[in-house]
Amino acid sequence: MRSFIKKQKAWLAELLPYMKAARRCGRSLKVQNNRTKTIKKNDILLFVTMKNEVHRLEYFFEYYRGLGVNHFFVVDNGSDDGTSEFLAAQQDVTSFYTEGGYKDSNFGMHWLNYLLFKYGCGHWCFTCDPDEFFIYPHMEHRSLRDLTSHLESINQDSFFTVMLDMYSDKPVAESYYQAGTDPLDTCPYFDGSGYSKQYNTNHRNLFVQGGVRRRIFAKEEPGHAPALNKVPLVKWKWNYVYISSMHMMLPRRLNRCIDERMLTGALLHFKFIGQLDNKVRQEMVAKQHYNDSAEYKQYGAVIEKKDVLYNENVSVKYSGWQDLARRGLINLGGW
Amino acid sequence: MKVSFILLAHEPADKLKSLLGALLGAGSNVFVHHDAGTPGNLAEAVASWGYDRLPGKIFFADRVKVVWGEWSIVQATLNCIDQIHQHDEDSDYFMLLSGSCMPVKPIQLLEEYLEQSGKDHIEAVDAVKYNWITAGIQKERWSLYHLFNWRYQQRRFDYSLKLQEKLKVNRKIPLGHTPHMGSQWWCLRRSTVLSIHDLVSKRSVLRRFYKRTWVPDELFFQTMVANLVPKTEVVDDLVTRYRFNEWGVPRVYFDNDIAELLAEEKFFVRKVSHTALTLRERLRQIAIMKNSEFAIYLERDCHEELLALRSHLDLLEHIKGNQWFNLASHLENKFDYIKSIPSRIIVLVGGDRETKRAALTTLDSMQDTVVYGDLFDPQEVGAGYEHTGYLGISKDAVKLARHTWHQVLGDIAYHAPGKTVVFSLGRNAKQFLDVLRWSPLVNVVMVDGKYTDYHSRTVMEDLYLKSQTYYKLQHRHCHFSRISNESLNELVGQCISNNHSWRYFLGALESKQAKQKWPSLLRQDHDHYAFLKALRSRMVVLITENEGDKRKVIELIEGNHSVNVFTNVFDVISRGDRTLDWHYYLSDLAYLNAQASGEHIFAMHFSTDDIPRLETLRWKKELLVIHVEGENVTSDSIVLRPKGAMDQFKAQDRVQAERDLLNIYMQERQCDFLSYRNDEMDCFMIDVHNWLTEHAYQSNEQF
Repeated sequence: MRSFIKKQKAWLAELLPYMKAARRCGRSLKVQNNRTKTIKKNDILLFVTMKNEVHRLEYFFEYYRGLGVNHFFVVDNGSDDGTSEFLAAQQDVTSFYTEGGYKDSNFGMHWLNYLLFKYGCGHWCFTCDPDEFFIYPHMEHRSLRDLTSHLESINQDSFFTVMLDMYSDKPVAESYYQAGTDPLDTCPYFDGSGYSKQYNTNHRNLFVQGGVRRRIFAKEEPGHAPALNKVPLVKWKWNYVYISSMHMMLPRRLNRCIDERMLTGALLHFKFIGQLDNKVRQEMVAKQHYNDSAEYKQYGAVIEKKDVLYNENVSVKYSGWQDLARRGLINLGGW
Repeated sequence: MKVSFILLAHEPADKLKSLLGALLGAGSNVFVHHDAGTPGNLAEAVASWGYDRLPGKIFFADRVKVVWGEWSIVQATLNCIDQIHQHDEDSDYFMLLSGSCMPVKPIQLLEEYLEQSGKDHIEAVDAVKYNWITAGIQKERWSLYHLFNWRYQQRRFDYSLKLQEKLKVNRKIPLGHTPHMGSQWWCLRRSTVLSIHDLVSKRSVLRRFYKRTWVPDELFFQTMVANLVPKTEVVDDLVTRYRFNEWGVPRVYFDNDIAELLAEEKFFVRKVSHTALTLRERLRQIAIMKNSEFAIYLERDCHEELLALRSHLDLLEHIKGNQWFNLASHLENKFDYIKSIPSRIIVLVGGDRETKRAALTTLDSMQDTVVYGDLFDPQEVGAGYEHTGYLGISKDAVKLARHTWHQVLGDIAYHAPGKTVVFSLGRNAKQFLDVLRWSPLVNVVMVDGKYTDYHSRTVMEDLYLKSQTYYKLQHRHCHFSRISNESLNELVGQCISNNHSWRYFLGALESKQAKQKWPSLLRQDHDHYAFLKALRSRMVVLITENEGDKRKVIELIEGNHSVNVFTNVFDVISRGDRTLDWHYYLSDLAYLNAQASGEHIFAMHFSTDDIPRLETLRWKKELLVIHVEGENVTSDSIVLRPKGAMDQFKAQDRVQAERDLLNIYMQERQCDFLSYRNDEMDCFMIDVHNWLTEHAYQSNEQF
C-alpha cells in the first residue's frame, strides 16, 4: 500500500524539492514596486531576472509591450546602475529586489519559480532573460494573445523556442549596444545551420545545441555546449516548475512541445554586445554563473583576442521568422 | 434572387460590427440570435453604428443561453426561423452563420451561385449506413438520453451512457425519420426552411426528442432536410469553408491571410480572428461589391497580395520539402536521421590517402557532386581533400564534427539540394558505416590503388580496413561496391563524355561490383566457413613459439620453395578484437600474393597469440598448419632476478595454454597439421615439400 502511494505520488516527491527551494529563495525577495492590483484576468505576464542591464531595458520593455505582454515581474539582483529607478517609472512592472546569490537561486530559476507560483497561476506566463527577444511565426500580424488563444484552442499549454545567439561582424568589444535601439542593429547575425538535437528520454525534451557558442566556445567539448531549447511561454498552474533554467520543466509533458505539427518559435539572444566585456570582468570575480562561469572565461579570452564571431560560411543576417522557418529552426505548425 | 442570413452569435456586439456591416451593406436580411449569456444590447449597438440606414434589415430573435453540444443551439436557430416566418417576404435562401464567420466574396456572387444551383446546400450523411463521426459516439448521440454535458461533466456523461447501455435504452428517431448527420453550417431554400418550421410547430414530439440528444446541431436540421426534401434537391457542397487545422480545430484567419482568402473558392470562411480588424474591414468591402467590381478589384488592386501568396506558397513548399531537416521532425537518433536525408551519399572507404584523393578528384570532376575528404578524421575535419561544398565547422573542430556527426552530414546535404554528397572515411570508418549502411541512398565504395609493396604496413592497414568494411556491410540496405581507381576513372570519364546521368553511373558501379571476386557478399546467407574454403590459394601457417625458431623456419621455407612468408599479418588488428572481420583481409593478401608471385601458395607466420584465428581457418582443406614447439622452460633454468622470477613460470603456463588450445582446435579439422620440436627441422622440410607437391594438382585445377 505504501509503495502504491509512493508510486502514485512520485510526481509530488520530484516536485517538492523545487518548490522548497523556490520558497527558500523567494524569501529573500523584497517588493519594490507592487502594481499587481492592475493585473486583470487573462493578462499575459512576463517574468525576468536581471543584474545591471539597464542599457537593455528600454527596448526590452518596448518590445514585449508591443507583442502584447500586459504585466512584468522583475527580480533585480542587486543592480547598481539605475535599474531600480528605471523600473520604478514603469507603470506595468512589479519589481523585487534581492542581493541573494544568483548561483544559490540556480541562476534566477528559484526566484522566478516562486513568483510564477505566487502570481502566474491561470495566466500565460513568458519567462526569459533581458537579452532574449521572442520570435514566432506571423508576428507582424498576430499578437501574443492570438498565439496563446491558438494554443488554448488546441489544448497546448507550453511553447517551444530555440535560442539563437546573435552577434556582429566586428569584435565583441566594438559591437557596443546603444541603449534604446533595436539590438538587431548591433548584432544582426546568427548561425544559419550547425544545430544538433538529441532526445532526452529522462525529461522528454528535445536537447538542442549549436550556434556560435557551440561552434566557437565548445569546440573541444561539444557535448557540453549550452542547451538552446527553452520553454518560455506556459499557461501556468501551481504544480509547474522550471527545473533547469528555462530549458526544462516538470511535469514532463510540458517539455513535449515540439513536433512536426506543433507551432514553435525562437528567442534571439543578444549576449555578445560590447557591454559583455564589463560583465565578464565582474563575473571573473563573482563566479555566479553556470559551471563556475567557465563560459565567461572563454568569452573573456575571445574579447581579449578581438576575435570575430562572424564566419562567412555559417553566419546569416537575421531577416525575419520566414527565414527561420525556411531553415527549419522554427515550425509553422499549420497556424 | 436574394439570400438572407441566420446569425448565431455569442460575441460582444462590437465584434459583430464588420460581419453585420458586410451582410446588411450587401442588402441581405439578417436574423440574428444574440446569446443570452453575452452582456450588452446588440440592437442598440446596431442603431448606434447607423446600420439601420443600410439596405439590409436586421431582426432579433428571442435570446436563449446557448450551451455547446446541447439543444439550445437548435432552439436559437428555430427562434431565428420564427422571425423569418413572421417578417421575411422575399428571401429565396437562408444561410446559417456564426459570429466569427466572414464573407470572402461579394454576396452578389453567392446569390448568383445559388440561383444556378437551386438546391439545398447541406451536408446530410445517412448516419445508419455511414460513420460520419471519426472519433467518438455516433448512434448513441440520439439512441440514448443525454442529461449531462461532456464538456463540463465528462465523468457523469460517461457513466450515464454506460448505465443506459446496461439498461438497453434504445430511442428511435420520431416520425420514422432516418437519422442524418453533417456539418452545422447550411444554406437552405426558403421552402425548406418554412417546411421545417411548420413541422416543428405541428409536431411537439420533435422538440421533446431532440432535447435529449447530444450535439443536435449536427443532427436535427440534417435529418429534417434529408426526410423532407427529395435527394435530388440536396447537395452537400457547402458554401462556407470550415477547414480544420491538424488538431481538428477550425482554422482561424488573421490579417496576413488576406492573400489566401482572395484565392478562396468558397463564399464564407468559418473563423476570422476578431483582432484582425484590417482583414475584417477588407472582407466587408468585398462583400458589398458588385460582381463586376470584384473582378476589377482582383485584377487591379491585389497585386501585392498575389506576390505575398506566391512567396507564402514557396515557403510552404520549401518547408515541406525539407521537413527532414526541421528541428521539429522527430529524427533524433542517428539511424532515423541518416535515413531521412534525401540526398545521394557516396562514401569512399580506404586506408590510403593518395588513393582516396585520386578517387575524390575523379568524382569531383562530375557535375552534381559536392566532395569532402575524411570528414570525421581524428586530426582534421575533411582531411585529405580540399572540400568543394558547404562546411559549417572549422578544420580543427574534429570533436565537434564527430559529436553529432549525422547532423553534420545533414547540414551538408541541406546546403547542396539535389547534389550527391561524396566524402571519405579512414581508419575509424566502422562506427560511421554502422549507421550509414541502413540508408538505401548511401553508396559505400571501396577504391583500390596499385598495391606494389603489399608487404608494407600501409597496404595491410588499407586491406584490413576494407575487410572490416566487408564484414560490417554484410547486413545492409545501402549499396556497396569495390572498384579500382583506374576503372572508376574510366567510368566517370565515360559518364562525362556521354553525358550520362548519375543513375547510370550508380548502376554501372553496381554492375561492376557484381563481377568482383566477393560473390558471397552479395548474398544474405553469407557464411565465413564457406568463404574460407573457397579461397583459391593453398595456405601454410607456421606457428612458432620463439623468435629464433621463427627466423629459422622462415629461412628454410623461403630458401627451398620460392615462397614469400608473410609475417606480423595480424598486427593491424587491434588487440582483443575477436571478430571475424579479418577473413576478407586474408583473402585479399592471398590474392595479391598470387598475382605478384604467380605461385598459389600463401604462407604466413603466426605467433602464438594468433592461434585463436585457427578456429575458423582449420576447416579449410588446402591448409597446412605447422607447429614448431620451442624448448620447454624447465625449473632448472629459472633464475632469481632483482625484479622477480614470477614472469618466468607465467610464461611457461601461457605457452602450455596456447599449446592446449592448438591441440583442441586440431582435434577436429579439415586442414593438415604437422607438429615438430625445434630439433626436428629436417623431417619438417621433407614433409612440407611432400605436402606442397601433393596438393599442387588441386590448385592447378582451380585456376
